[in-house]
Amino acid sequence: MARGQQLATTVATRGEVTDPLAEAIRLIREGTVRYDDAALYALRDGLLRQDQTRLGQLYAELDQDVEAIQCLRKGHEVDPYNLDSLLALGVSCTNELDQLLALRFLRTWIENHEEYQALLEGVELPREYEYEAWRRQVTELFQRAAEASPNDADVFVALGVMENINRCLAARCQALARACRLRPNDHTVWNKLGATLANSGKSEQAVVAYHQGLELKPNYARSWSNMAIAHANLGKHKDAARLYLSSLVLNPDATHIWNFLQSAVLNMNMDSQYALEATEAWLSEPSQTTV
Amino acid sequence: MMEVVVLGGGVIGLTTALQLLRDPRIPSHLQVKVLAKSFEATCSHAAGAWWIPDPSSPASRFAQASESGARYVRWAKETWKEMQDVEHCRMVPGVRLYLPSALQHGELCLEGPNSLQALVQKFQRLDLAGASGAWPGAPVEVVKGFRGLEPPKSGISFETQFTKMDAYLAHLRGELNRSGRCQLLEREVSSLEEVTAAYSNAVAIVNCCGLTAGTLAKDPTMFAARGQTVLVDAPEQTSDQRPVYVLPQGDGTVAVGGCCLPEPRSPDASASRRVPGREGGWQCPELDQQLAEEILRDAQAWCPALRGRPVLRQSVGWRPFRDPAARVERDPEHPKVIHNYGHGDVGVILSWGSAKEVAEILLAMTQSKL
Repeated sequence: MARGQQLATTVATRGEVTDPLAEAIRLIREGTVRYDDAALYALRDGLLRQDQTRLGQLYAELDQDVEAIQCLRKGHEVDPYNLDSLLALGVSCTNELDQLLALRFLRTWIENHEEYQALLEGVELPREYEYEAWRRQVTELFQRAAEASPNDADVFVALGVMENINRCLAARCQALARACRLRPNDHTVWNKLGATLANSGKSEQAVVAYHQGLELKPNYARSWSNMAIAHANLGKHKDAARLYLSSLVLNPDATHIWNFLQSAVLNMNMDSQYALEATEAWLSEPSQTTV
Repeated sequence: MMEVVVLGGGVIGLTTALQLLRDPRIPSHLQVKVLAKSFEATCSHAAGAWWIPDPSSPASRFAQASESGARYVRWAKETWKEMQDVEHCRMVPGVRLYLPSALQHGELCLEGPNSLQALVQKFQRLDLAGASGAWPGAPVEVVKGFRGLEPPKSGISFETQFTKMDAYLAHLRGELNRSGRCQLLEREVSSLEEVTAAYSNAVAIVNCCGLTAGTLAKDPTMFAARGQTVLVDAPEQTSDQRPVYVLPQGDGTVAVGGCCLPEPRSPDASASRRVPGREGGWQCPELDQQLAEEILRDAQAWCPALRGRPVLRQSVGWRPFRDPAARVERDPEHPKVIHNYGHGDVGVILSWGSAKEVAEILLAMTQSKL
């Protein structure tokens, strides 16, 4: 079923395919993809072939931010006021460490948002390359937006992304936890909370959040990759390798995941050592000496 | 265990290795191997290492309000912070830079966020309208470049620092050795594929070997600019009125410089001055004796105390310039390779900032995606 996403990607990126639905049926007959999800995706994709924003979001779910950014930018050019593409661009640019660009997109999101554009009154656009000024201003804008609308999940997602750029550990986890509370059925929000926890060194808690997201959407490749990274961080390389494989089955085009898989496999024989070290560390804690 | 291989034993390579080991966000089970052709004769060893963006540099990105200009300023500020308490970096008060008219309209940006003012201390403008006589304390290089122009009407004064490079590089190597998690290996590298294959366990390979880095990355935008200095024995020269390119080293010697002469990119055109390395790469060049004499003569003109002093050592290095700016990013074709090269004449000034960028990239390579 997961190959459906892959198909949607394949279909939409192959210029020569004029009829995505026919292509979908052909691939299903070949056995390349399974029927259930694939047909649905192909249909949707056929209808939305020009919708680069949707395709960009799909790429992000497949853990391919570079491609996601390309599509989202095209979508943004077609419809500069589309809030979804602006927020998604802010997220993918943050993942790709292009923080200044992320800040621009996030600020434009506020600028285009009916409810929040008033916040910009009297706020001057920072100078073009002054990263610090951008960072301070956009953070403040989202903090004010969050105060004004404590029930808007999008604002808390954006604030969480913003605090990821700021590397503010507590604030980013809080914002995204709030977003999860407001929108508990959105797998992408759970993944963002998980990734944020993992990047804050809380891999065990991250796994719990990823589980939530994957329960909502089992073929969410990005969350499988992240789950694998969390296990690798915990020194569980055998589990990590298995989870990387789960992600690669869903999207073999994510080349960086193949590299991670290689590292995990090379480290697999270290698992017992990690386990031993972890146990010894626990034993050496003063309160445990009587054990 | 997590392993990272750093290529290059100059200031960029050593600083990058140290940053990765010190970065609190990177797991402490990281081990670093630094591979270099030499740890004793690098381009960094020849640097005067004096803290201003060079006004006569062929590609001074500080000067421009561009993205790379802003990035350079950010890196420089981070480096300044890191180098404040290092004993081999000394503050030089009262540095004066005089502005021939050509420079005033030229590319050195003096005030504003991406400017000289942002990078030095106690910056102030000098009015020289009433001053008479020669240009006291003019930087040698500026004089050379603008000889024959009218004496300047204005100037600037500031406080800045310079670094005694051989001692500083030894200090960095010492810190790496003391970490207990780093090996320095004298080893020449001929291709990225070779390193990737030889260190297949490494999570990343950081390419910091100056001009050779460009060769390894097959980067046609790299070019070399000769830097040459003369070390003069002058024990009484402890406080210097003309510190530009006459830099007391604190041990009774002064480093006298300098130059920044871009070499033609075509290997044929510069055959007489440059020894092409293996596979069209670059190799450390021979000293230019005539240039050394000019440098010394110019310095003596501004600083008579140097006359008749014995020359202890001469140094030459190829500053690894890149057009338009230094490259700090992942290689799109080699997923494990992070590039950190092309810092031109501002390698020391950018060293910690760009090393931190490498740490960020390494973190991103292993971080979870939102």
